[in-house]
Amino acid sequence: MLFNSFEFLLFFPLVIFLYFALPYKYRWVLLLAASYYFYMSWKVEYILLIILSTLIDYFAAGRMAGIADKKRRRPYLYLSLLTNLGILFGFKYFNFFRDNVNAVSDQFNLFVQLPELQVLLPVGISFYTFQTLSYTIDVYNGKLKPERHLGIFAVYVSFFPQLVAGPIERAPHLLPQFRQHFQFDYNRVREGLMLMLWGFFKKVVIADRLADYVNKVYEAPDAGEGLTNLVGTYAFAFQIYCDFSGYSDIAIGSALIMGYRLMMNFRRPYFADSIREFWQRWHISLSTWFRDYVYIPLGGNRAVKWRWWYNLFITFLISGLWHGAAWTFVIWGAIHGGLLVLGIWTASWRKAFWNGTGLGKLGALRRLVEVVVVFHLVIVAWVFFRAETLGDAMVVLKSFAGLSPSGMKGLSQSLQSFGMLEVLVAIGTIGIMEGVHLLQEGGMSMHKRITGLPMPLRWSVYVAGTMLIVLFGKFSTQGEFIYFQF
Amino acid sequence: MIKLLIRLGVVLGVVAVLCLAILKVIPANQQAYLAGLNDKQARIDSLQASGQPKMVLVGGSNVAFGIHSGMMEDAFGLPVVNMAIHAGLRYEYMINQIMDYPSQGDVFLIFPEYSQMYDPISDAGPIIYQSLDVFPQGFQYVHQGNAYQQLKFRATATAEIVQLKVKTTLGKLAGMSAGNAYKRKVFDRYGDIWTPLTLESRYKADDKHMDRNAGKLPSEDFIRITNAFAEKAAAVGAEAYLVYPAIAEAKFDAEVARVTREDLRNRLQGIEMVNNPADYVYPNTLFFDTKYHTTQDGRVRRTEQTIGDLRPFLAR
Repeated sequence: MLFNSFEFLLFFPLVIFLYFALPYKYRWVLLLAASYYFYMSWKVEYILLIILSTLIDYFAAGRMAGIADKKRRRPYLYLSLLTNLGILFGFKYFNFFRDNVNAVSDQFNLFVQLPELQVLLPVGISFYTFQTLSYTIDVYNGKLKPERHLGIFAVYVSFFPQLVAGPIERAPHLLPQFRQHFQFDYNRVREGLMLMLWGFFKKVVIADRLADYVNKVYEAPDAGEGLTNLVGTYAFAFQIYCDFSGYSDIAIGSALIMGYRLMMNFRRPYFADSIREFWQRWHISLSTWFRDYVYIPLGGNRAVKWRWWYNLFITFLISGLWHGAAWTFVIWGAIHGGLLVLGIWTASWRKAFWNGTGLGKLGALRRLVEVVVVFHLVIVAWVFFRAETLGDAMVVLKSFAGLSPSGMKGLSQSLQSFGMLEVLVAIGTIGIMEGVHLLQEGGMSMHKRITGLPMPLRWSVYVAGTMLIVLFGKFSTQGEFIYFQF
Repeated sequence: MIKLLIRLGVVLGVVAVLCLAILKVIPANQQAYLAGLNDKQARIDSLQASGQPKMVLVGGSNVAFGIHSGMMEDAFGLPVVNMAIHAGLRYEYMINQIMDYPSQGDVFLIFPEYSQMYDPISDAGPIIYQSLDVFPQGFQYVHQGNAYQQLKFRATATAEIVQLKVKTTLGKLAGMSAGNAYKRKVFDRYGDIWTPLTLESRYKADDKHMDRNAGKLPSEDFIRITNAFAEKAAAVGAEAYLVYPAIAEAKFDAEVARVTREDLRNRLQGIEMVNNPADYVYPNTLFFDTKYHTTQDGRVRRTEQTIGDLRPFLAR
C-alpha cells in the first residue's frame, strides 16, 4: 500500500479511529495487525520474511540477555546476522553476485555458471533488516535490554508508517514508545497532519511531476543533448529529495498522530556547504546507522590518517551497495566516499584560499559558493544513482562536457513535450518549497509560525495547502516511492 | 477528538466546495481532441438509426490517423464510422462503446495496438479521466468493478477533471495550447484525422514502448473482451475481424509480433485475423509523430493494403 493511494486514504483514518478507541493494552495488537496488513497488501507471502526476522531476533536477543560473557553471546549475534543478511543477500544481491561471477567465469573460461534466482525484491527489505539488526547488535553490546513482549517487538520491526522506507529507527528510541499510553492530543495530531500534508505536497505535486520528465530524459540519455540531460539531472535531484523526504514526512506525521516520535530523516540537504554536512542532512537515519554500526566499528577517525580515510571510503561504498545491487550504486557510494576524503584532505588548502583572498570574511558569499559547489558535486553523483547502466551514466556525463548554447533547441523541445504549464508548475512549487526551506534555515519553525497565525489566515493556509495538492497532485499515474526498491 | 473532526470536516468541506465550484463554473473544453468522441458517437448513432449495414472501425489513434474511411466506403460499399480516438481509453472502453451496435450485415474491424493487448482494462488512466469531462456518457464504457473500485474511480476521475479544468484555464491565460493535430476539429465526418496529414513526418523513434512488452502474451482480459464481442456480433449476423495496425520499422519486434499472433490464433474464438503484422511494417518516414500515427502517404498505403487483405474475407 502506498501512502499516496486511495487505499491509504481509507486505511489510515480507520486505524487512527480504532487506535484511540481501543484500551492501551490492546493497541499493540491493532498496530501489528495494521502493519502486517499494510505490508501484505503489496505481496502476502513476503510477510513471512518479516515474521522470520522478528522471531529469530527476538530469540537471539532473549538468549543473549542471560549471558554475561560477550564471547558466549556471539553465536546468537551471528545467528541474527546470518539470518537477516542471508535473506537480504538472497533476495537483493544474489543475482548481482551471480551476474558478476558468471561474467568473470566467462572472461577466464572457468565454466562456472550460477543460476538466476527468479524472485521479486521484497519491498523495504533493506530498511526493516537494518532496523532489526541494530536491535540485536545493541543487545549484544549490552547497550540495550531485550524486549520481553514478542508482540511489542514485532510492532517495532514492522511499524507501518516507517516499515518500507524508514526512517530506520533504533530500538532504544522507538521500542519504549510502544509501552507509553498516548492520549489524543489536538495539538500533536494537528502537527502530524500538517507534516503529512507537507509530505504529500512534496511527493504528489513535485516528485511525481518531475518523474515524468526525468524518466523521459533517462530512458534515452543518448537522445538528449547536454543541456537536456543536465536539466533532467537537476530535476532528478529535486525529484528524489521530494520523493524520499516526502515519504519521511508522511511517515513521521502519521506516527506522530498516534503519539510516536520518529527521528528526523532530512534537514534541507541541498543547503549543505560540505559533503560531510550533506550526509548530516540527507537520510539521517541511514547515515547515523552506518556511522554507528560500520564506520565506528571499523575504527572511525581514531586511527592513522590513511586508515581513517579508508574507513570512510569503505563505509560509503557499502552504503552505495545498500541502495541497490548494481555497480551504478557502488560508484555513487564511492563518489561520496571519495569526496568526503577529498574534503578532509583539502580542508586546510581551502581555508588558506578563503583567508588568503579575503573572501573568507564575506561569510554569506562563502557559504553560497560552497552550497552551490556541493550541490553540483551531489548532482554529478546522482547521475550514477539514476542511470540504468554505467554506460548510460557515462553518456550523460559526457553530454555535460559538450554543453553548448545550441543545446537550447533540444532543451526547449523536451520541455515543450513535457508541457510548458507542467514546467511552470514544477518551478513554482519547487520555489514554494525552497522558500519554506530558506525560512527554516533561518531558524523559523513553520509549524509554530502557522499555528500562531490568526484563525482565518491559519485556515486559509490549510485550505490552500490541500487545494495545491488536489489541483496539482499527480493522481492518475500513481508514482511508487523511489526508495521502496531499496 | 470531536473538535479536530469538526475542524478537519470544515477544511475538507471548503476544499470540496471549491472543487465543486470549479466543476460547475469552468465549462468542459469542447474543442479538445477527446471531445471528438461526441461526433463519433453521433455518427454511429445515426448509422444505427438508418437501419443500413455499416462498417465500424475500432481502435486507438492508429486508426484515427491511419485509415482512410472514404476509400473503405468506396471499396466495400458500406457507410463507415471511424470510432478510434486514443489508445489511452483502453481496449475495454472501445469495445464497450460498440457493444450494443452490431446489427445484421455490419462489419466491425478492430485494430488493437500492442499495448492494448497486454493491459486492456479501462479502470484508470489520464486519458480516460480527461475524456469524461468532454464526453460524460463515457462513464458507462469504463470498467464497472465492485462498489469500492467504482468509488475509487469516481474520486480519482473527479480530481483529475478538476485539475484538467484548472490547467486548461491557466494554459489559456498563459497563451498555451495543444498542437494543431490534437483538437476536435481535426476529425472529418467519418471520424478520420485529416489535419496533420498535410504535415511532414517528425517521428524520431525514441520511444521504448514495444521493448517493454517483449516476452508478454496478450492478457486473459483481452481475449475475454474480444471473444465476448465476437459472440455478440455473430449472434446478430454481424462480422468482426481483428486487424494489425501499421507500425514504424524502428519499433517493430518481429518476435513479439509472431508470438502474439500465434497466441491470438489459439485463444480467440469467432473472430478472424485479417493480416500479418510483418506486412504492415513501414519506413519511419511514413509516420507523423509516433510509431502508430501515419502521414498522408502512410495512411493511403495502409488503407489500400487493408482493403486488399480484407477483400477475400468480405467476398465470402
